Amino acid sequence: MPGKLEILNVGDGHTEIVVDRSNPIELERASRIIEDMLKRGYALFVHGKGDVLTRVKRFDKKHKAYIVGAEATVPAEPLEPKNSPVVTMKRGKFKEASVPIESAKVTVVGRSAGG
Amino acid sequence: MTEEEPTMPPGMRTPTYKELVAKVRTVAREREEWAGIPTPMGDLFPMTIEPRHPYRIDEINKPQDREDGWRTVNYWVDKRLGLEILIQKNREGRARVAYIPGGSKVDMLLGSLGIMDAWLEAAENRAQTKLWNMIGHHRFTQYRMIGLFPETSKRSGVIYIFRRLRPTIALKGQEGGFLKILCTLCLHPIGYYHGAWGGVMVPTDEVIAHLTMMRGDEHKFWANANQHSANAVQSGI
Repeated sequence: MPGKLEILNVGDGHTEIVVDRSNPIELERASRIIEDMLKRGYALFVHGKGDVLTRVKRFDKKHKAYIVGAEATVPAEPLEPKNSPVVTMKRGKFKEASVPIESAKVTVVGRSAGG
Repeated sequence: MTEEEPTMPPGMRTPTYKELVAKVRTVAREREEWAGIPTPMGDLFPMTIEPRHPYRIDEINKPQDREDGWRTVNYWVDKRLGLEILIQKNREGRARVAYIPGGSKVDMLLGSLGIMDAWLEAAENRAQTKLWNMIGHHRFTQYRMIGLFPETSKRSGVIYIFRRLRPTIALKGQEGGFLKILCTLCLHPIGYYHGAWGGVMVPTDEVIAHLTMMRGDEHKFWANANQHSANAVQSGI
């Protein structure tokens, strides 16, 4: 199953962007969109097992993967171990994990204007 | 010499709000504005847009002076008297106190009717489908029937009541089975209209944003939201 970005949107309800590894152009476009959104302060949440959400800390452009905190419930469901193994790295006392973009469902919330 | 008023070319008419919103949506897609571009609703409902948004217009975000020149600079609620108290200043720097008995709840309600044209029904339907997937049939029925549903945070044990067009209520269980209202949490992604309950996104999208933030980053949800006490008009209780 390809990855999916669901971006909460003013005019559409939400915009869907499908991320398919077999289409390099789409993959590159999605990568650019993710980088742009993180730069603008959008909050990206990876859906995991039991619909547990984990916030994306940053984006690994080289490996086209989301970096999430492994101390939270690392999403296991969307990962396909054969093609996209979970890479766990140690950063100080916190562990991080990477989730390939083509195998994760992500909900994106725009930056808050307060209320 | 007076300036001539602009007139519409023959055969053309002023677009309706729905047409305007649809056009803005198309422009947002073309310009790759992923979260969309908010639609201004005129002077009656000035907008506040998040600071990094490329379509943030300073005029829209400026606090609007009233026609008589008085501007509200401070505001609080007197629980005992049941009054909203406003401190206002005019252009000369003179200050005055204004009292609103019963608060501006009716204004907020009517304001929400006023901004309804900024939302497309199709967008609300899409948002409701997504919410149904997130909370399941039973709680979605609660939301559809009475406009709210609860969820307890596994992390903190706080009970949240998510509401359509109102801030989310945060409750905590007390000894003896009582519930205490901690506060209400008001958060609008991208922007919101002043004098109304709604934001620039359709109501259910805002509920999804609250729910997503709570599930995925509860700490940041509290940090980013404005916390209103239960007795404030903005709490919507």
